Amino acid sequence: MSRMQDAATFFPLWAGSILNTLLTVVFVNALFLKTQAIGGWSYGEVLVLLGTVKIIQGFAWSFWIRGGFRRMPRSIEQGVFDTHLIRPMNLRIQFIFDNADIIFGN
Amino acid sequence: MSWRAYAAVFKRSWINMLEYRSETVIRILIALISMISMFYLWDNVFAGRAALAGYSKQQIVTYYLLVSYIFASLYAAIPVSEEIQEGRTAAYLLRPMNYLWFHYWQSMARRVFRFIVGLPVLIILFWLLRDHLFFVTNPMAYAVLAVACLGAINILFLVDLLHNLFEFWYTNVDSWSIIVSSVVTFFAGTMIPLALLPPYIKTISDWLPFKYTGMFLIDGFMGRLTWPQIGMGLLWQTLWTLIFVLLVIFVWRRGVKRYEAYGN
Repeated sequence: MSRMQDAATFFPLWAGSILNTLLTVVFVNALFLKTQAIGGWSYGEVLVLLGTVKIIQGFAWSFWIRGGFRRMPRSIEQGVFDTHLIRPMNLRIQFIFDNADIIFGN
Repeated sequence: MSWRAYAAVFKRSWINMLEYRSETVIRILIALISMISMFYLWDNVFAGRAALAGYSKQQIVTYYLLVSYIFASLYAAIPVSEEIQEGRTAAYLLRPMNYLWFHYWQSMARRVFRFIVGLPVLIILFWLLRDHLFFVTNPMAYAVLAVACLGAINILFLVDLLHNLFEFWYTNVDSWSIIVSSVVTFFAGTMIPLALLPPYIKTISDWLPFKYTGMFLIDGFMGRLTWPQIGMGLLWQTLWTLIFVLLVIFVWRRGVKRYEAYGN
């Protein structure tokens, strides 16, 4: 939600994620202009694979790579880790959801 | 300001890279995984064909190995927008040194460091895939590649710098970095050689500077371009560099005028 507060920041992030996916589709399209199948995989199957990878990648980037757990080392470094420790909540769950960066899940 | 000062900036950045060398190694390993997967992908795409859009299988595998390695080495992000946002630019403005040249030499050390650290990995990969590669023996091709790499560094640095300088007007231009990097890497031909794309995309790429930071380097090196085409390409690299230099100077001067930094 904090990402959506500033439209000037949110829009390019959102557009960038879409553009990144679109360019990957252009890449796949360009390959299939030259061939009917890749290793037995048809165009449709490759797109389903690509979509699945993007969804998994999106979750990974949102909760582990870009946001979420990625912030944990920084919180130890800055001495704010104890604020998480004293909360009556599972530490891992806190880090996954507290700093999730959903927009980067492209 | 003497060039010795910029040599010191280069050296300091180099030492810093030595300190954080694991980051470079991880970056190279990621590029290596991409190179190997691309080899198997194109091995399947070719499946019995002699050539695709004028590329032999050996040429396309060599293209990917080189473009991935060179682009991963040369494309180094610069922290200018972060410094403007946090007010740290003010400290640099007081120093008897040009801020833009400072970042140029600082990022140059990172690029050269990555290039050197990645070289053994590339050599091992070339040895492993030696039966599937296109080897270039003409010494002039290596000279052209070196000159074109310098031109590519300048364009990539200036595009990144220009994008970063808009931080003077907008908060968090970093949010545009996905768009900028996606466009740059795609039109540089790092995802797919532009010759394999539909004609309208090739036309767009002809009007942009990015193919001179990737595809042009490798095609020129592999002898896919004639000498007049290489000469024209180098000329376009120079022209784009000049255009971006003028734009950067214009934006920098206007930006500094409206720049304010508070606190210590």
